[in-house]
Order: sequence, then structure tokens, then C-alpha cells
Amino acid sequence: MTVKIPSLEEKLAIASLKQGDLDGMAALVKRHQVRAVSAAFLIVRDPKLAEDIVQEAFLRAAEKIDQFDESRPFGPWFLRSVINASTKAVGRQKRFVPLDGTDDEETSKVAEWLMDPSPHPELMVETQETRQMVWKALGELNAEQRAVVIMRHFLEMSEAEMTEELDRPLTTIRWRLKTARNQLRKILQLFWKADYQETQDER
Amino acid sequence: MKDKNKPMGSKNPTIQSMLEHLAKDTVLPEKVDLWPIVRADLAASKTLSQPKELLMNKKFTFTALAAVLVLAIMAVFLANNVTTVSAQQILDRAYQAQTQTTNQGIAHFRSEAYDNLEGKSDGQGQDTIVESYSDPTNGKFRVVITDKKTGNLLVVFAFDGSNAYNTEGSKSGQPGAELLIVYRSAQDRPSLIGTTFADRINGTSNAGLDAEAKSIFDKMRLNPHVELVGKETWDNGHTVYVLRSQQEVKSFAKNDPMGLVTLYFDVHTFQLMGSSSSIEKDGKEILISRQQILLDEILPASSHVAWDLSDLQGINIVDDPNGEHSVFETLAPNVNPAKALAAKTDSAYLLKTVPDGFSLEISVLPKQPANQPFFYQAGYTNQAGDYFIIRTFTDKPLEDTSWADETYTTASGLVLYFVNQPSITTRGEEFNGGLMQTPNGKTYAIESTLPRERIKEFVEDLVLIK
Repeated sequence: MTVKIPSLEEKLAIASLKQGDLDGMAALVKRHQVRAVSAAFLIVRDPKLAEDIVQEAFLRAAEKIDQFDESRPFGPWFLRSVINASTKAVGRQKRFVPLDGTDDEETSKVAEWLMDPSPHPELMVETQETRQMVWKALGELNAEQRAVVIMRHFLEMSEAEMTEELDRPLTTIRWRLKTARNQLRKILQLFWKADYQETQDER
Repeated sequence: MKDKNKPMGSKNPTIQSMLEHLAKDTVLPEKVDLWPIVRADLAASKTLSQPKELLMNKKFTFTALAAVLVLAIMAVFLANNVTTVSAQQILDRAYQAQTQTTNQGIAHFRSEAYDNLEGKSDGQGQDTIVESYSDPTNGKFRVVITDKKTGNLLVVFAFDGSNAYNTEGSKSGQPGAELLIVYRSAQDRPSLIGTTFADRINGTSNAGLDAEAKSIFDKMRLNPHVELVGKETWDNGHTVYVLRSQQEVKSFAKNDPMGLVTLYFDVHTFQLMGSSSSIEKDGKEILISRQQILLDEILPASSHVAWDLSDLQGINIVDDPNGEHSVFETLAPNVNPAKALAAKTDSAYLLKTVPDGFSLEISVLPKQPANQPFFYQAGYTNQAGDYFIIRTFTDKPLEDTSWADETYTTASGLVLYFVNQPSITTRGEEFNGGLMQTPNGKTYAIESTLPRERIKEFVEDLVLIK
């Protein structure tokens, strides 16, 4: 995660907000809005909805600022509500149907790349195509799985942070992460095969 | 044992990079600005808008009050010694202050302005004092502009509820000059479109500065590199924050359009109190314009104001019964102006629809001259001070169009000849416009602060009213 250490500006902003000066929120909004909207967008996949979610999350944060421990960074505390609100919003939309979580053990380049920290060199290259595969694959995950992937890979949260932010036991988080990885691997494998097949057909 | 605070597994920079890119493809960081909405939500929140002490447990009230008192004393001490806010906070608060217009009563402004659009050196521009009164509830206003050096009247215009008063052009403020002639004509309500004082007189702004200062303010809000210079106290006792940034400066003398702009904000109310702009010319800093509010007050609605200018010395009021020197009269400002215009003429062009963010004001000459085309003016203005105006020019086709530097023909056959002339008006606004000829040989004048491409879009939308 990019923002983990509470800056002096952030501390002052929170202190003034706690004293009732609503403009103290300005610094917090400016500091965290892009990361928060991006994370929400990757989960809900609708930029306008993502902005609405973050906007409401800021309002809730201001209302609950008295409960916030100033010695800790604001970012993770705030992002928890953004992630939770995003998964709830997806739940309300009910348009994402998770695939069956059967783990296909057949090795594929994409799956290895996702799971293996030393992947195939050609898959280390980020291309528009591989990016689109990941986008499609994320879309096939359910909201909670997607949230776990975003927290892990986009917000770079640790297990402990994820546990705290999602307010769930560590085992649940690990299980969700594993399921999400497996789902992604399976889905990307399908995309990869389709892509490969298209290339073969063209030849 | 596994450290729970470390990220799980090995970091995968590629998937992280992909997620970053996927987000950035849609969520453009420079376009994300939630603060205005969040601020509005916060202001509207019942919980948050309650004073903090009301939310406290009663038994802590006295302790809290004592603490507040100590904090207040400290705040006063600190405010007198250090600058405790950032440039961005000042701009945000000023924006908030601007949007909280209070128009109950008579707005009274006095400001000082210095104009040196030609970029002359050594303060050779014109220093003027502008005093205005306006009552948005009945449309009455009066604006008096005097030369600061000589005290001579330069320009006067007013509306007393039944008569409009205006000087035709402005008179040089030479000592001993003859009386300033002010023409008086019976009118319902004169048009103010395109005038420097339109916003304040119409009550759409409580900042007594013109569109130029507001334009600088808007640009400064979007600029991440604004410097808080500090505080200064003016001769009239006002203490202001001084903010400065580089910005395009409008002037006739520009080789390089970039210059320095400065805005002044009241330290207590955060109201915009003044602006100045300067350019560098031959290695020297040349002041191009400066505005400074000397007085900004709301008088009780019952206050006596000589709307008919009867208190002014040095003017000669001349009746103008035929409206020969008259300014445009606003047509049915509170009902449907397009319909009212259609009832008077069938040779006027209007936009098919009023563009988003714009409002329409139509004005006509109170007394239409005989054997002349029907004179009207339709002005579309937005909150930013931009306008698009079309008005009658002549009922004859143009004989010479060699002056045009660009010609544009619409799908309906309207031909717009863009005029090639200095690109800013005397008010310092970007000027674009020209003459538009219709297929049946009539000509209309177009004037706008919008870019040419936008004007072309507007002209495409013009239709003859029915």
C-alpha cells in the first residue's frame, strides 16, 4: 500500500476534523481519493458507482472520526469501509455470478504465471491482451474474492491488515485468497486457451 | 513463524502493474475531485453540522468550554503570528464563501481598479474608483465610475425602477471638462449582458469583482502550483491572504502570454477581495490590472439610495424620449423571453435550445426606430462569465467581407465572417465574433468570449424564431 505512515498533514487534518472543522477532511480526501476510487472501481467495475461509494465512505469517516485512533494511518481504516461498501454494492447489483471453484490442475502458462513467483519470461511482459485477460477474469470472480485480490495485489495489504480490514478470521481470508487465486487461474486458463486457439485458427 | 504483517507470498509486480493500469485506464487521477461533493455532503449532514459541544455529555460541558476558551485564546495568538492555512484551503474556503450568496438588502460595493492592458510602464494606466449599489429584488442599480486622480466622473449608468440612465461611452477625466451628459429614458429594465457589473447587480455573486477576477480565481483553483505568499494589511484595515500563481494574462502587450496573477482573500470570511496581474516586459514587471475591494456591505432593504442620480454633481441629465441613446431593455425577464420576442418580430435568430449551464436574456430597444430592422439582442451567459450574443446589425447583405480572417457556413446556409481585430475587449476578455449573413441577405452581429470552434457549434444551432 502506498500510504501507510500518517503524515503530519494527515494528523493535523484528523485533529482539526475531530475539533469540528469539516475542512480538515479536505486533505484526507485529496490524499486518498484516487486510490480509494481505483480500488472501488476494480471491485464494482463501474466508475460512477465507485465515486459514489468513496464519497459516502468519506462522509461516514467524518461522522465516525471520533472513533479513529490518530496514532494509526487513516488509509487502511478508511479503505476498509470502501472495500466493504464496494462488495455490498456488488451484492446489491447481483450481476456477477461466480464460477464453480473446481481447480483445474492442468498446467497452463497463465495459471503458472499467476501462482508461481518465478513465471515464464514471456508472461512477465504486460501487454494489452494480458491486461484484458486479467480484467475479464476479475469480472468472473464474486465480489468478496475480487476484494481479496484487490487488497492483496492492488493495495498491497498484509494478511494481518486484510484480516483487520475485512473483520474476518485469518483462516477465512486465506481461504478466500486461495479460492480467488484458483478462480483466477482457471478463468485465465480458459481465456488463454481461447486466445491460443484463435491464433492457431488464424495460422 | 510467519509474520502476519508481511504481505502473503511473493510480490507479483506484473499483476499489480496490470491492476494499476486497469484502474488508470478508467479512473483518471487528474479527473477525480470528490472534495466539492464531499464538502457539500458534510455541510448538509445533520450530525456533522451540529456544534461539537452539543454532542458532548453534559458533565463535560464546563471542562470543554474551558478548553475551548484556551484554544480560542491560542488561536487568536497564533492567527496574529503565523499563517496556519494552506493555499488550497484558502481557495476551497473562498469557493465555499462565493457560493453562499446573501442577497437580502441592497448590495453596496466600492472598489479601486487599475487598467493597463497596453502594458505601459510606470503606472501610466488608468486608476478608477467604482461605486455600485444594487437591489436584485427590484432590479434597481447604479454604478458610478470616477477617475481616481482627478475625481472626475467617467461613466454613469443606473436604473431607478422606471427610467434607465446611461452615458454614451466614457469621457476622459480631464480637469475642467464640461458636464457629463447622462441620457434618461423610460424603461422596464435595462440589459446588463456583457457589462462588467452584471453578476453583482443581478445578485448572482456577492463578490464585488468582475468576471476577470473570477476567471483568475477559477484557474487558480485548478492549478496545483499556487503559492501562499502570506498576509498583508491594506490601508483600509483589511487583512488579506495573498496567493500567487503563474497564469495566462490578458493584455495587448503580450509576447509571452504567461504572467503572474495574485488574488487577495479576507482572512476571516475568505471572500475574494482583490486581484492583480502582471507581465514581464523588457526585463521589468509591468502591472496590467489590479482590482481591490474597498467596501463590501449589505445595506438594509429600506436604505435610501438615490437611484435617479439626483445626488451627483458634474452631470447633466438629458431626457431621451425616443430612446435614441438608450441601452437595451430586458425583455420579460421573469417569463419566457423567446415567446415575448416572437410576438414582436419574425426576423430574430435564437439558439434552438439554451445550452446546458447557460441562461438566456433577450433585450430590445424600448422604442424601435422607423424604417430600420427590428433591433434585438439575445445573450446566453453562464456562471463562469462566458457569453454568446447575437443582435441585429442590418437588413442588408454585406458588401465587403475582405476584413474577415475566417468564414464559416452552417448546414442551414448562415455564413459567419469572423472579424480579425484585437483579440481582447477593453474589459480584458477574450473576444471572438463577427457578422453573420442569412440566406435572405440580413446581417446579425455575433460577439462571444467562447472559442471559435464553440461559436461555430452555437451558430449551427441558430434558428429563425416563430
